[in-house]
Amino acid sequence: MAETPTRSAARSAGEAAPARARRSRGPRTPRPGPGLPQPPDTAGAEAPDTAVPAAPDTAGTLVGFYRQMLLVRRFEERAARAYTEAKIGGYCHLNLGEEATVVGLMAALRPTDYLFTNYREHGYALAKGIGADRVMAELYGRSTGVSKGWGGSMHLFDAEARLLGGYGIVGGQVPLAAGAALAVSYKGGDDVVMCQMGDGTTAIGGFHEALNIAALWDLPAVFVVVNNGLGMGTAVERSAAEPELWKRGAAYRMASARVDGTDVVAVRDAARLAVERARSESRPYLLEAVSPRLKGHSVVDPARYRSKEEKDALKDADPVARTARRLADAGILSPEDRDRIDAEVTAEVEAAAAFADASPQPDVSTLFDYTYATPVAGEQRRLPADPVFRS
Amino acid sequence: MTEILMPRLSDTMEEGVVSSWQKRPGDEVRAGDVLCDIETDKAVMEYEAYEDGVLDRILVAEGETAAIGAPIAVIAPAGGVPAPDPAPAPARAPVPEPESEPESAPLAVRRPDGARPPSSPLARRLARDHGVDLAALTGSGPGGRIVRADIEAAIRAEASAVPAAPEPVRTRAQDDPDVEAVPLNRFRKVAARRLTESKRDAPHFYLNREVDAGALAAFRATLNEVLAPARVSVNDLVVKAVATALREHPEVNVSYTEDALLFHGRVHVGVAVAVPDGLVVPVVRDADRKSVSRIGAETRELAVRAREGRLGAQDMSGGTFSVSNLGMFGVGSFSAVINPPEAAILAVGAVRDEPVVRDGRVVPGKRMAVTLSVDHRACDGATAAKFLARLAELLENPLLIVA
Ligand SMILES: Cc1ncc(C[n+]2csc(CCOP(=O)(O)OP(=O)(O)O)c2C)c(N)n1
Ligand SMILES: [Mg+2]
Repeated sequence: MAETPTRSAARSAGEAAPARARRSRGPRTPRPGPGLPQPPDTAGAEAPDTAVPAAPDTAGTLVGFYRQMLLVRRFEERAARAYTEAKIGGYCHLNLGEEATVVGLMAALRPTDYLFTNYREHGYALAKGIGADRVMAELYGRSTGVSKGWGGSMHLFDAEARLLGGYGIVGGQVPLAAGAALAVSYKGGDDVVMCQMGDGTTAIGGFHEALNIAALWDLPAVFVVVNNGLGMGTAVERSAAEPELWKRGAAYRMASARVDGTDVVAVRDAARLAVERARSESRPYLLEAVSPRLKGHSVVDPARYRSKEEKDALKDADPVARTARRLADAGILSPEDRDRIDAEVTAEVEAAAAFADASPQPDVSTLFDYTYATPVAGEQRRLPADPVFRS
Repeated sequence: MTEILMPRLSDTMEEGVVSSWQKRPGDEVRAGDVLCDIETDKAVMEYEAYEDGVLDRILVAEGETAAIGAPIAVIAPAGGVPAPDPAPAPARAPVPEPESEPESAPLAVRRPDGARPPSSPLARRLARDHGVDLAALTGSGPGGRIVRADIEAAIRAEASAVPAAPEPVRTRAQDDPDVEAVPLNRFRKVAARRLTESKRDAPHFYLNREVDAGALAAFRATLNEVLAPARVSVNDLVVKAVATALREHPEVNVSYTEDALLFHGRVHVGVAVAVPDGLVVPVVRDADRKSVSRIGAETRELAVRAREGRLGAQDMSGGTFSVSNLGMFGVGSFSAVINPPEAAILAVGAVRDEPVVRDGRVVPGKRMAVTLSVDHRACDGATAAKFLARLAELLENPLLIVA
């Protein structure tokens, strides 16, 4: 039987793998060829941090995480309320219940790393350092918003913060993130691209295409699946033949792990391992964070598919309350501090809502100004009621 | 004092109905507590409080409608001074100020002559369900809006107006204090329509057969030993046997239409499930290709969801044959009404201990009666009898069911 060439052999034989142009990122261990099973780097709920010897977290860091989580919580609650007050229109998906995942993931990134997300991204924008006022203004559709009021809840975009978008098409962000990682690879530097998505997204074709190419071309991308147990109303077990989603990495020989998404430090550690591997070795990674979604799929979903018991159980799983309890038990967070932080972030969120409310609506003449970054031939700039064909 | 306003809970909602209050005046309220359920044009949503306090007054009573942004209740600060004027909660919603009408309300609100009067979404639905003509009503709600109470009054009025001639002895719930009129629920309405249609349009004929169920009962016991803690029921075995027999007898897996007989390429077996307020028939898809334990697991899951009212339309549609089993209630035999557009239904009775004659001797044995109801337009007696014979053979030799 003829020997199958290993992938690296095939590549050195002259296959034009685009990532070859990449700057080298330090030492790499040769990967085994086909036939040698590669054990997953980590398994189960913990991701032992071998790559980065982490210094123990200071109380300040931990309380800072809590503060960010609470900011996301209060922001989302305020957004839900603004929706009922008809200040926010269109779709609106909240990160309620996913705060530890959001904050833990963002804590593992450098400000210069890139982020792609799905439509459930308000918290990510906040934790990536974008002001609550600009995020809220975007939800209100005001010109002071992150996307100048033209994006709305699902399409937060801020090149400066390197948030390259929330995406409303399930899975739409995944191939784009692989593309961005390819660009990083080409240009050089040691930026990393993180791509967040939901559990339901792992059944989308683009997910598999993107992970495959990222592994083939050694792209510095970290794919993060936030497993909140549901794609709209469909349970993971009903949509995924392998409901342990992190195992999908094995199909691409991609290192992968699952982490408890309600534990902000565990998420940060697992993400840091993934991010730093992508940074130093230019290898992609698949991380699954298991974290509940406390409310319906979006603000208009009564979530009747959940029983009363399920809803009650969710309250116990609330990561914000859990984190507060843990910090209190560790003697790091006094009840006074907790109340003070709550008052501060609540005030910040209220100010953001007031800012948004006072901001102007975007002018219709600017509708197409941000559609494309570069000129595109044949671009249609048709407003509603404009004729389809101009004579 | 904080006013609680009618929330907008969907992009297309203009007004909502308070379908129930979860808190009563005087109740303590904490941020995040459910205050009430609001019925929108799309769904019933829970509405939570944003602040702590005490529910001081309810302004919109259950069943009443309010426009988005209209006050529906008042919350007083927790432990604060009692409201200066502790007005008792009005039994009915006071008429809100005219300016609280939705600005974008449909033209009907202004009601030019002949136009449809304003009405709440709930009222419209009730009217549709009961065939009440909205245009004929005068609304008692704010601004002449037709509300639930108006529709209910119209339904009652119509009921008592119908002449009692055809059934002389029947009394109206209206006048007879011993009779309670319970409005038909969704299931009963759909079932009533479809079953009437079935009995009226499909000429039913019935084939009875007694099956020797000794081997079946023993087989089930063995299966349950090896599968424990999972369990299969006699009905799961029957469903699988039916599916297998249908696969072999495609002429029974059919639907009659005016133009053609439709032969179904797949075998989807509906299983009748009693729910507290009616009957539903969730469908086990491709039952011929599933194992008995899988059929059992699916049936139980569907039954649980049926009882919790969580079955979707897709769970109950597409069946090509149904099975109805009343054996667990001790029913010996019965015949069932075909579930259209299917061509047949199997009614399954209890497994009974009976004396049976085996090799010329009377010995203790087990029997089960099955009755096949068949749509004669789709299928003839001999065809159905052959199917039933094969089914009996499978049930009497249960290894064939799983073979
Ligand atoms: C391609 C595509 N299909 C379907 C939808 C409708 N849709 C919107 S969100 C969603 C569920 C996605 O679930 P998941 O990936 O788990 O993300 P989550 O909402 O839980 O964050 C679906 C099916 C869509 N937006 N795009
Ligand atoms: Mg999900």
